[in-house]
Amino acid sequence: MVMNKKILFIFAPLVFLVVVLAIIFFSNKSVTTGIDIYSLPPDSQLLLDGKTISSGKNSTTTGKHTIEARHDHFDTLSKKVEVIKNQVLVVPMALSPKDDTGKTWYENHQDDYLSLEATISSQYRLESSKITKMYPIVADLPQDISPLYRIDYGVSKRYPNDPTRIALYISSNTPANKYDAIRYIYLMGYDPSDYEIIFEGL
Amino acid sequence: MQPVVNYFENTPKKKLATWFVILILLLAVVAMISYFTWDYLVNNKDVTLNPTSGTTITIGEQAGDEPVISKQIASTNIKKTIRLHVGAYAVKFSASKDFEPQVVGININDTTEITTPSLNYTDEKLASTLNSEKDSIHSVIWGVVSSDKYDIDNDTLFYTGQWYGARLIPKDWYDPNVPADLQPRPTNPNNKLDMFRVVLKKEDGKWKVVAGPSVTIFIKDYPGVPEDIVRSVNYLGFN
Repeated sequence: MVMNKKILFIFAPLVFLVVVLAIIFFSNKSVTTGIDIYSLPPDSQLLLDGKTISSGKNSTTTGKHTIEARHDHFDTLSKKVEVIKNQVLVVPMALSPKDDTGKTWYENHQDDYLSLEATISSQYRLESSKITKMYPIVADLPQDISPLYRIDYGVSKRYPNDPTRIALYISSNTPANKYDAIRYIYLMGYDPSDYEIIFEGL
Repeated sequence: MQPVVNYFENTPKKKLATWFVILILLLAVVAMISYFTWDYLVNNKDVTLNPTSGTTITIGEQAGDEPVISKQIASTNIKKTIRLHVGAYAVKFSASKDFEPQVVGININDTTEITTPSLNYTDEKLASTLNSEKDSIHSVIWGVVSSDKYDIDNDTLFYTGQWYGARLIPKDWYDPNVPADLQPRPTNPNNKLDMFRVVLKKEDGKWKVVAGPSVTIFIKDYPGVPEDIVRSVNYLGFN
């Protein structure tokens, strides 16, 4: 009996320590490549490539994936996304009501909708700060030299699924104006060589 | 009456003081020798100058922050090791008259080996090389854009003549109603063609287009083309 107590005194703190360390380890294991899903209603059934997942952060492989959200009183929503390495892609899944129960749900849960909006907005701010760091010209855009050309930024065609990548969009009607827009980028103190530039009509 | 102390007498106190002074002096000498030995061992580093064949490396004291040799320390065209105090130096790499000498600043903090980097041709050598290569380069470009519609402008060779960049200007880019010598030349509002930039590389004796033709060249689209060449070609005509 005394021996059992001794063993208990020795092993109990050890077991406790192991449990604490395990909790710390698993709670700190953050997702670095995957998707972060926000769904409305929150109890929607979520599927990633046909397999049920929960909302929030989910690890995925890099590449193309299909996310589906289902709910009895809402239209099924399906989105195709592409995850790249070291990116957690935020995917809002707000379903449209298909019957009165669904409509009533939104009326009674406006706070949830606002919360989703706030989350997306905060993610957008985070991405914006990354974009400004990577592409300093963004701070000086848009440049509207009407009616000659306009320089702005938008989605990158080279990295279409990476929200932190951008392309410069130059809108102009003549080749000479296009040329002047490039010269203007130099005059602003930036090198066009560092930017994916997409030309379009004004 | 107070006894008079004669400090010149050979008293035990005087002996002790003498020995004390000698000991201090000895310690000072030992400290100095130790310092200089330590300084030589710790603050002097082996620097190996290893010039590639046909090149010379010259190292010297650096004048201020600029990489300029103010006082030459060593110059060699064969492998040679010298010992230098840690600090900032200027190193000049030179070769035959066809190559542009290159001077760089270097911080010696540890044992270092300095080898000759790739030296570029001088502007004169690049110009003469361009003259001999121009026809074959242009024939490759005319395979990509029409010589009826475009002129090649700002032909430029880079490095040792294996990289080439130019602007391709539409034939009716400039306003034909304005004299050609008017600067800056006004553009033709009726022109419908873009001005392009193009980079070619000579590989296995043949020129081929490696970037463009495009209005601007995006560095990340052409990882095989050195960044400084893309930047230079994009900037052609703007300076």
